[in-house]
Amino acid sequence: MERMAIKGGYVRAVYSVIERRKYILILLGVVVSVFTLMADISTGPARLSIFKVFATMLFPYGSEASVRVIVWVLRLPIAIMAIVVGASLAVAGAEMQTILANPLASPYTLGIAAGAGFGAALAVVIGVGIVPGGSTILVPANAFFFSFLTCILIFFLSKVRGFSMESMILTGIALLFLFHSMLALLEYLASEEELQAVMFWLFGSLMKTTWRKLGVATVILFITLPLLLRDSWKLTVLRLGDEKAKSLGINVERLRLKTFVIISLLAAAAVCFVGTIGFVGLVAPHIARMLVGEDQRFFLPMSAICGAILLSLASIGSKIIVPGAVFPIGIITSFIGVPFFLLLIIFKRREFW
Amino acid sequence: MVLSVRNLRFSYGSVAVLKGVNLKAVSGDITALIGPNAAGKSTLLKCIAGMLRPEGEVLVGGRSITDLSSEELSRCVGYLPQANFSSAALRVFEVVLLGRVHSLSWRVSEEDFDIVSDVLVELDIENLASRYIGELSGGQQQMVAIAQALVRKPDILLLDEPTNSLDLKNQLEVFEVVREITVKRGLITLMAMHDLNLAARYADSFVVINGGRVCVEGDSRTVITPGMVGSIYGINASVYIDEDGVPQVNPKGILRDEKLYQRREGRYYG
Repeated sequence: MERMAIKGGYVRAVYSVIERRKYILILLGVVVSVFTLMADISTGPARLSIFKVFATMLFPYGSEASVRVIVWVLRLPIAIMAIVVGASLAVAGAEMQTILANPLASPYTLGIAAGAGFGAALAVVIGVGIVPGGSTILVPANAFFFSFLTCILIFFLSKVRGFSMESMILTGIALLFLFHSMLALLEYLASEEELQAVMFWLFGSLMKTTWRKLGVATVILFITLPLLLRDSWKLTVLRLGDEKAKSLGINVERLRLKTFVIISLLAAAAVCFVGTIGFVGLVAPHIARMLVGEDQRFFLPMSAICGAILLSLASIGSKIIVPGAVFPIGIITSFIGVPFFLLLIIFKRREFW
Repeated sequence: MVLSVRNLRFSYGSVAVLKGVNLKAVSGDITALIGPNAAGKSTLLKCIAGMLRPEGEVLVGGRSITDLSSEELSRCVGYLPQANFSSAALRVFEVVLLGRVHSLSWRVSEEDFDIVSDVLVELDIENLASRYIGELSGGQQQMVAIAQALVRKPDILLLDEPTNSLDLKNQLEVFEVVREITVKRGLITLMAMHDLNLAARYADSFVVINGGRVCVEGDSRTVITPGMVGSIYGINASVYIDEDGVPQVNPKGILRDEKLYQRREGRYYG
C-alpha cells in the first residue's frame, strides 16, 4: 500500500513538471508576441527604436506629434490586427484539425478563404453586395458573407451524411474548387484596374486596417475563444477517435457541429478584413502541437500565440523586404512559413498523425 | 450485482442485428461473448454501453439503465471499443485523465490526480505515464484503455475483442489484468472474443451468440463442445479437457454440409 502511494506520488510529480513546462512555454510565447508587436510597430519607412515605441504607447502625449501619429494612427492598428488575425486563423485551424481529425484542415483548405476571395471579387468587379455602401464596407462585408456561406454549405451538405468527417472535408474541398473557378470567371470578366484590385485583395494585406475593423475582429476572437476553451476537455477527448469519445459519453456529432459554427465565424471574420492569408491557419496549430501537445487547455492558447507571432513576423517582413514599400503579407507568410514548416516536418521527433 | 438483458432488439436500418437477446451476468465474473463474425456481439456491447439505442431492457441491480443519458451511462459503464487510440499528441496520463471528462474542471483536482495515479499504479503502467499514446505497443495501449475505463469507477466493464492483433504474451497479460480487476473490484465484465481456448481459460461463464440471438449459455464445459463449435462456426473440431480442467478446442477443418450451414444461419440449433 505504501509502495503504491510512493509510486502514485512519483507519477503526479512527473506530470506536474510536464504541466508546468507548458505554462512556461505559453508565458514565453506571450512575451515573444509582445516583442514582435513592438518590433512590428518600430519597422517602416520611418524607423523608430523599440524603446521609443514603448514610451509612445505608454505615454502618447509624452512624444512628439509625428511619432504619436505614426505609432497610434498608422502602425498600431495594423500591428495589432496582425496579432488578432494570426490568432484567429490559428485557432480556427487548430479546431478544424481537431474536429475533422485531419492534419490538412484549415480555413484555407476547406474553402472558407476561397469563399471570401470570391465575395470580395464580386464586390470589386460587379459591385454586387449584400449591404449598400462604398467599397470600404462592401468588400469585407461580401467576403464575410461568402466565407460564412461556405461554412453553411458545408454544414448542410454534410448533414446528409450525419456530419461525418469525410463528408465535411470533401464538401469543403469541392467548394474550394467551385469558388476558385467562379473567381477565375470574375477575373476573366474584370477590367484591368478591377483585376488589379482583386489580385491585391487575394494577396492578403493588413494595410486597410482601421480601428473599427480591428475592433470587430477582436470582439469576435474574444467571444469565440472562451466558448471553445469551455469545451477544452471534450475537444481533447475527440482526438482519441470518435468511438472512444462516444464511449466516454460525448455527443460527438453535436460537439463537432457546435465547434464548427464557432470557428466558421472566427475564420470568416479574420479573412474578410485582410484577404486570404491561408498558411497561418495550417502551420500554427502544428507548431503548437509539437510544443505543448493536444491537451486543449494548452493547445488552443498556444495555437493562438503561434499564429499571432507568425503573422506579426510576416508583417515585419513585408515592410523590410522592399524598402519604402509594403510587400503583400500573404506572400511573405508563405515565404517565412513554408521553409519553417518543412524543417519541422523533416526534423520532428514524433509522429502525431 | 447482476446485469440482466431482456429481449434486446436492434436494427441498423432494415437489417435486424439483435433479435431478442436475453442474458445475465454477475459481478466478479468474466462473461465471454462468443460467436462468429457479424453475430451481433459488438452491437450488443454498444447497446449496453448506450452508444446505440435498442428496444428492450438492460437492468443493473434491478434498475433499468436504458433510459439514462449517454453521459450518465458512461459513469457506470466502462466500454472499450475495438478501435485503437489515434496517435494524438497526448500523454498516457492525460489520456487516462480523460476517462473522467465529465467531472474535470479547468484545473485538475487533487481527487482526479489521485484516482489517475492510483489506477496507473494498480495496472503497473505508471512508468508509461509521460509517454505519448502513439508510441505505445498495442498491448500497452489496451492497458491504457482499461485504465481509462477504471478511473470512472464503473460497475460494468465491456470489452470488444480487447486482444485483437496482440501477440500471445500481450493477450495473456490483458486477460490476467481483466480477471484481476474483475474480481478485486467486483465488476460485471462482458468480453466479446474469438479465441475459444483463451475464453475457456479466463472466462467464468459463456454466452454464445449467433444470428442476433443467444444460442447457449453456461460454464465452459457445457458450452464449449464439439456440437456447439460445429453448428455455430461450421467447423469440425475435437474438444478435450486439459490438465487444469479447461476445455480446449482443436479445429480440424471446415464442415461442408447443407444442414450445418442452415444451423449457422441460426434457423435452428441442436
